[in-house]
Amino acid sequence: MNSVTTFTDAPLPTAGELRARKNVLIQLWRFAVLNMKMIVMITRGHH
Amino acid sequence: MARTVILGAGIAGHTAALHLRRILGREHDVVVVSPNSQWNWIPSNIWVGVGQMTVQQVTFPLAPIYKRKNIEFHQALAFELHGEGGDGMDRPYVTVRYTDPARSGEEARLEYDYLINATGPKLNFGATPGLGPDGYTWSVCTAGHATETAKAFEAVIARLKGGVHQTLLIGMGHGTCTCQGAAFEYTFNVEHELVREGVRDLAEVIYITNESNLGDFGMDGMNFGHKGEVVPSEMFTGSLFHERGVKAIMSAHVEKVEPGVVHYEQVDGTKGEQQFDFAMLLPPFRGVEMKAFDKSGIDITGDVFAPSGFMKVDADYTPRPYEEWKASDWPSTYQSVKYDNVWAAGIAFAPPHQMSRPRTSPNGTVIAPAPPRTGMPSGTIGRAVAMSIAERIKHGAQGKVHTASMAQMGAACIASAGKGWRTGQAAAMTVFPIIPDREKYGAAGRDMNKTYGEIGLSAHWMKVMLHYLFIYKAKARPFWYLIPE
Repeated sequence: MNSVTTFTDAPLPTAGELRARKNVLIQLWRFAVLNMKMIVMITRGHH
Repeated sequence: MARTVILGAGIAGHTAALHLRRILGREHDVVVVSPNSQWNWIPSNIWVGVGQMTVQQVTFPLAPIYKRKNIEFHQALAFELHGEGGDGMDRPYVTVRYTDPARSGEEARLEYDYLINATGPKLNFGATPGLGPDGYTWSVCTAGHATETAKAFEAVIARLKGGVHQTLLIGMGHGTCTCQGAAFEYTFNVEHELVREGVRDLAEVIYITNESNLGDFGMDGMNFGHKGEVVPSEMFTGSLFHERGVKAIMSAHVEKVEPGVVHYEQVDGTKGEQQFDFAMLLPPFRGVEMKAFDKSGIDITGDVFAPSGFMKVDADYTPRPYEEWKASDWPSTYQSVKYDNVWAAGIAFAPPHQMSRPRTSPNGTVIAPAPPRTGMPSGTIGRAVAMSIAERIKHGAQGKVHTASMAQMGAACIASAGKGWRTGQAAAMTVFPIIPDREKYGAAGRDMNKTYGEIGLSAHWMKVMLHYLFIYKAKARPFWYLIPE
């Protein structure tokens, strides 16, 4: 026997979200935002 | 002149060595002892394990770097700590056995004024019969393991291309494992490669874990702040599993592995087995097998190290129920409870307790993800310990004590879900603080403005950028110290 779980109840990303995750221009912007978040984390979150 | 010996050349030990060398004058000795001749950027081993990177891209030899930086290097394994000297030695020392081929098996005593224990973990494959490369499963814990795993994965793809259905089982090989993030990454990189090779339809990918919920990651999960809403990491992660068609076996302790089958027990006491054609299961960690002795040669290992083999530091180790755990239980200076000139950094320090609620099955089996303390926290702790030692050397007891409590520290984790400049994907997650602080932040335990998750191509670029940045830093190239831990 086994207890393999599927996650069909978990929400799927919309078609728009999937496109946005791969869109180079949007992702370049997200890359900049992520870098800013990291910098904030490092400057404020480290001692 | 002071002599600082650092045991281990991983993220914590190597970071500490480079910072000490940068801060201290050449009249002071900085000594590194590591059984490995190579430095390894472990977060990229998952890409080696799917054949998307080579060993040479994730490792480099330590000796030339240490020679250039005037750091004394011993390729050796430390196995005894004599914190008070003894046996004819006036100063404290560690006993080491060389793994350097030129001195293989030779033993030596290395004296120190200050010691950093940054030995990392022992990969405890022996905890589960049949687990590991010497058994029936693969690993990505070292670059060498990952290379062998890539060959096995290549054979899986060949069989799939021949029309043979394959089951790939990836995850945790014991109920007390940590590093769920690495298994998560490897799972989705495998899935990504199966899609890229056009064989996904014939393959079943199953994640097996000791986590009670997806997205726990040994950190009791996270609540991400997103556009004014709260998104639990369980939902965030579950969405990716749904989208990519990956199944999971949750709350599981792997009891044993036999050829092609894993036997496990879940937290409700049910026993199960899962057939597989390919399995990559991570081992639990424990401290390296180091003994401690007092001046007269009496074994005091229990005073210096926890039963797990990790070094006891300035944490509150008082046993308490889960509901009474506090963020303040966690250490901040990483100074040994026994010696004031010894510190433990990175995985080598004994955590006071888990972050996730430990569970026990009706059969008494403990299923309790161990707390992660790799990557960013390891480097930050290594640096803080190095700075404290440098202060002590320069200013004596008046020197500033640097702290790096994981209860006051944020961390970022980029979990790859597939490699490729245009097709890659990763989950970028930031968390603050690492240790949940429910007194300060309420039930969620973390600052919602600084705890954040996002999936996309940009996070993959970030992971690639960090790969090159941290290897640049580890090679001590010009201005390496400007790159934060």
